[in-house]
Amino acid sequence: MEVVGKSVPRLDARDKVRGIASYMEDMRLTGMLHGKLLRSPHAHARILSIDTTAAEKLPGVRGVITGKDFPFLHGESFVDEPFLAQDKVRYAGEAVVGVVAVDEATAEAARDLIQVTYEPLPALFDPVEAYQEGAPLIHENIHTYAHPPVINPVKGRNICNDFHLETGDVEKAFREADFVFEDTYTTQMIQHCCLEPHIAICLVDSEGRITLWANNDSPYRARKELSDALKISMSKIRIISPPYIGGNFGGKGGLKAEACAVALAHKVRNRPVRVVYTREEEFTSSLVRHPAIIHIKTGVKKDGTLLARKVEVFWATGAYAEKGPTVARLAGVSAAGPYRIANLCLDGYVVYTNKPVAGACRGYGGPQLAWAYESQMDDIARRLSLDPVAIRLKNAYEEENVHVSGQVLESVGLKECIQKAAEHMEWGKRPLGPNQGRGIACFERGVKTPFGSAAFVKVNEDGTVEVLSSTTEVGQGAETILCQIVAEEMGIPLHQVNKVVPDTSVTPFDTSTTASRSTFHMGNAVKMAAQDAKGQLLKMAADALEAAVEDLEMKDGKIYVKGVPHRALTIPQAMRQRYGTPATVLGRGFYYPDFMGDTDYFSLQSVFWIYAAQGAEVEVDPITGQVKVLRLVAAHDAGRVIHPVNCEGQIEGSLSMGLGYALYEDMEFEVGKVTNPSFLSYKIPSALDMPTIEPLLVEKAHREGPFGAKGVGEPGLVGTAPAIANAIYDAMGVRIKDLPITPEKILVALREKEAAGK
Amino acid sequence: MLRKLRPFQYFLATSLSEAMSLLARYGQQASIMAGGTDLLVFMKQGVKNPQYVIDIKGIPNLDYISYDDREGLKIGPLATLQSIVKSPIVQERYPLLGESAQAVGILQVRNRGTVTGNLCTASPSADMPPSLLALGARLKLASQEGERVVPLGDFFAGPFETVLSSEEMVVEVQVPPPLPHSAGTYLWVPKQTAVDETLVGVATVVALSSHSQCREAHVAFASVAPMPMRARKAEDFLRGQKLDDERISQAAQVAARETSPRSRAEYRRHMSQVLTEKALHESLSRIPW
Repeated sequence: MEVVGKSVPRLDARDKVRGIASYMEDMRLTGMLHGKLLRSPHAHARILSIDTTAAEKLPGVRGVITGKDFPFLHGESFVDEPFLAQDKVRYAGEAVVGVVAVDEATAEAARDLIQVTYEPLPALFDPVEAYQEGAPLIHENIHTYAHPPVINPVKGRNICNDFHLETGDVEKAFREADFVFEDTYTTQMIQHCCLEPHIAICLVDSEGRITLWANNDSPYRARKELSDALKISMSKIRIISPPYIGGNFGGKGGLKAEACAVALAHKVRNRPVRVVYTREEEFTSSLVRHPAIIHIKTGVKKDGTLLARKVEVFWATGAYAEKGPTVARLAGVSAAGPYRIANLCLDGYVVYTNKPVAGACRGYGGPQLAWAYESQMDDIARRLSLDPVAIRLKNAYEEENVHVSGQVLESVGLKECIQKAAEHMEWGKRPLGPNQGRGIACFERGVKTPFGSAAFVKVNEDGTVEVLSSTTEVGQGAETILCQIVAEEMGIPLHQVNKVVPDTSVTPFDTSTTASRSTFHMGNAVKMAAQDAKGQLLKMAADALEAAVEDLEMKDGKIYVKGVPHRALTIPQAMRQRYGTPATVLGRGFYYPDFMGDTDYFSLQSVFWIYAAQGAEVEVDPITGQVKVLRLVAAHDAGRVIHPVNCEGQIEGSLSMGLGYALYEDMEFEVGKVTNPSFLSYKIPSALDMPTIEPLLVEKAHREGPFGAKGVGEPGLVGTAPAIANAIYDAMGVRIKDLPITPEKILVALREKEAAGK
Repeated sequence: MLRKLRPFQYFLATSLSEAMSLLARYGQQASIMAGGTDLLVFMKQGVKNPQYVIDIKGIPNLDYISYDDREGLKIGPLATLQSIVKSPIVQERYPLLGESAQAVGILQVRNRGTVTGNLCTASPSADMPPSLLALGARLKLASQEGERVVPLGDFFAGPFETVLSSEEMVVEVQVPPPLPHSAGTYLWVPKQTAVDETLVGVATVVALSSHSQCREAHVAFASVAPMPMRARKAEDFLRGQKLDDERISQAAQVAARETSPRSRAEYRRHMSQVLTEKALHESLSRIPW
């Protein structure tokens, strides 16, 4: 292969290192106004009155809007979220009133003049409390919200999805087990911490047509959500992406700054209105990762065979469902880990609380569940005197195993991943120093299925090629990878291929840039479109070259008769054969998994599964409780790799987020208000905190993937925390069950261990 | 947090007397800006909203770090934290000052931020105060009315508050010459990550009268009380004593009991003790005898 499988310089690299790559922040439109939001100081309160008189009178203010003026609800899988609070607020940070002014300072000043009186209501912060029958209701009318059939809300409760999946008979298996392990694991709330905040500019014209520029990860998904919410046709909504988006990790989906800008722009017609979230709003009012409480019970045989597992998860989804219901589904099906277990009972309750909204966050619920099942897996191994690697290999999924979803598995590189990670760490061979330990964790991750992606490949008059695809470039490298696939498929040099920036009026449908799905789904779509375009070009050239289409090939941007290198046509020459003039050729591709799942919306089965194993080596200071991560090893089965360096970069980035999740990050609250909404007090790892990371690629080609590729965007985060916790256990003999692992928790555990030993 | 600073009037002072006359005119409504690494953050947070910003970076020759055996070390108000880290005289005579300066932020911040600014912000978790307290530093304050010199221990009036009047500014940090047979150390741990606020910082200075006999010991903390503090009881416990492991270990316990941390109190106290013990040992080992 010419380009695929090679680490070519990323197409965005030159512009990004020179600081000239363009983002939403750089966009200015003529006549643009600026919006600011007054947000709720209360976690749960009824809105008694809103007085905007003084704000409206401030010179420079162009409009003030409240929920009463724009009474619509939006939501991807559960339509429950107002654009601006309606009658009551459900979390501190919820948008209540919007102000549009000639500049941000005026909008801010006007916002501060708005008077809102609230009547505080009892607030719920703990998902188990909120789950109880008789708990105060955060949403009184849960039964009226629209949702797809697979989502299962509970009327009269704070549960917006009750997920249940069962196979075999767990109770019977627990009785037959030699050992039963029962633990509770908890995880904290974290934020995506994209360097670029949410930004949207919206223009609504006098006919009600909407143009929205936004750093949304998925323009088509956002368009559908808007169209459903406002009950206007898709043709009246145009969503345009910026060339580049500064980070996503699941946080740029749905409508955030977009919802604010759309509401405000409806108040001030024919003028673009820009809304830029502050860092504080990123923390309080955009999106977070679900904190979870996970009860996990496992029955095993003496030899380490897993007989049964029961997992019960309370997902604290915050004030609105956002993607909570599907997080519980996609993560729920993998709640027991990547193991053959005949008896399973998996429950997930997506529970409203009066806290910031939780949704998709790199790994989509996987990191929470792996924290539980991979930590417990080591406890099981120790108790049974089995090697942690051996017990995983013994139970790990293999080719053609039947998954809990009923799917027969293929392209399963799990055991290879475990072995590769273990070998690389010299597992059981190289002795470690005092207070040092080594740990491993493995996992599976599905991709949202079955969802489609479309692409056009347009051949220009001069033979260069444009790829029309709605996959957004959020830093993951999709632009380069999709162009590599097209260049390879068409036999043209990579520098002659250009990806068009997504625009719902120009680039065709794509479900979303999420779920580690783009290389596989959009990769297939652009490959099909490239094939189509190439087929058309070969046909045009066939007569002139006096050869059958089957005897032609494309190489270096030219059409050759196979084996006859001097008989060739350039692409413009070929088009001239057909049109008499340089023209255009449009190739079309649409990929939709050929797939029999249980539903066409978030099936439990997955068109591909990603497998991985991660190892950690740590050193713990027994006096201070501080953990130093010495090394992280990550073996990922991403299918055949299109761009090795980029693939490794994705793994490294995930691991650094995983390190923050394991040791540092934690949103703190006082009565429902975030107390650390800045990078001064909410810390993500910097270069100085990073250990050596060793990504290892296990290339188990997938039958249906473009050139055999799968995906790799998220999984690195999934196993990092349990691998570190298992290494800490190996070093010190203490088990931390509550993320993040702080020095205090380690000292307490060490003290308890010492007391128990006496 | 604002996205942009609120409007303010900016003065680039070209002499100390100009800066002081601006201060005299605008007083309460004015803020002095040197490196700006704290001030601009406070202004973005809306914690400080000065109508007038008096930038003193344009005043020549205020970035000095000078030393003589009689007067000790003098640090000008524009000496950056990184210049302290790099200063040969600091490295030779007052290594703990360099260790404190090194603990602040990242290189970019240290290149911009000043020692004086670190003191004037008066953050409970600032890294410069413990070392300067342990070294017995004094500050020269000046206004149009005249000058006064205050011991650093009397400079802090509360969290983020100092005794500076609205017309005064700090014009020099003065550190006495090191006592004979003395050495000091600054140790700290971050709240979470490597680049982070200080959870606990401890400076110790130990002077010996004879081999392992303590003539004077100073212990000062950051981030374990509303203000930077000296651990006087621990100092009394060490003074005149033979500094064996036992005495040092007990002194560290005494010091930890003197702290009054608010959040993460138990861990902060624990780390106060751990770091004090370590810092005392380190200081001892640094004394040339």
